[in-house]
Amino acid sequence: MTNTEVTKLAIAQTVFRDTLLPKLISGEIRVKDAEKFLKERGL
Amino acid sequence: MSSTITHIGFADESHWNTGRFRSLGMVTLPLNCLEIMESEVRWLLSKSQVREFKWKNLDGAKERFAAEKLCLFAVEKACTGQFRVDVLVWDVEDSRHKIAGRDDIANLGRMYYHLFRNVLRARWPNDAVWMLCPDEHTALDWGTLHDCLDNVSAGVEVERSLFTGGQFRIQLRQEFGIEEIQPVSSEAQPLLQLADLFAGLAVFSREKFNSYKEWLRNTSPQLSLFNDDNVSNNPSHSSRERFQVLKKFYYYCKNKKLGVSLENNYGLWTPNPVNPINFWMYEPQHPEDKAPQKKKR
Repeated sequence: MTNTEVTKLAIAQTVFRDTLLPKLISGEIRVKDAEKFLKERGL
Repeated sequence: MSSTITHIGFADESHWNTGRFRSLGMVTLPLNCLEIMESEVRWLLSKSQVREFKWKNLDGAKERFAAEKLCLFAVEKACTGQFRVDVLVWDVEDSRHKIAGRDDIANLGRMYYHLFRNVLRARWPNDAVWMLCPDEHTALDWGTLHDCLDNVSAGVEVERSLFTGGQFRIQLRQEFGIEEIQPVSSEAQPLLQLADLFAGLAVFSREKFNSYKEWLRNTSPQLSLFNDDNVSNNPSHSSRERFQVLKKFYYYCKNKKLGVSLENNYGLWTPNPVNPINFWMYEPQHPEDKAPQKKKR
């Protein structure tokens, strides 16, 4: 893995940890809803 | 495509925004043991005439009896290898947390992350597929997901692709083995009440360590023969009930050689985290390991 890829992965993990996971734990979104949400936003 | 869930975990927090010590408790078990364990806990609660156990309500004999029965249940089940209790405790006076503008809610989210990473993969078979059941009243509430993603810098745009379609689910599986997260009510899920009990007990054992030691000395039969009036600081009724639970729990653990320490670290602590009842004190990982701070508006 290149340095750039490592950096990208680290950022992605941070986004996952700091945005999606708390929403899942709090029940604000479900796993399938999160997937749908990301898809709707073209992510 | 979804995998068949093989394991289940119940997680609850205690004192996430008050006091020096904060904690997260999680009980985990194979899914095929859930029904029998749930019914055993329900039966123990009904024997104590407690409808729903909550650590914060432990201030009388009835709740104490329930707590002691639940402690014994957890210790016995842990010995079978089909049940774990993991409690992560953090100290807001350590170098990670003693910072200006600390964001306790965001920090709680980080602690959930640590707990999941360290327990789900490392303490159970690597191919376990998890359903997690946090308390539906968790403190985690970080504004809308839209806000969070929109606040992410443009540089993250490319990385967002990692969450595209099935990638998001793969991320959940790869990181933790999680298939689903379903918040549940404490009243409906007795095993969530166990997570609450141990999260509360862990914090209590640290915050009241000195008072507990004094209470232990003052209630020792040998001492009371010679000294009736050395109670310098009378603990509250609620604390006395909780001291009894702590004493029993520690005795049960010692009796089964579960490697849970009380004296060495001034509170419940399990030196070997592999042990099935694991009280884990969060230590800052490096000088830059700092709790998140509230964003300036």
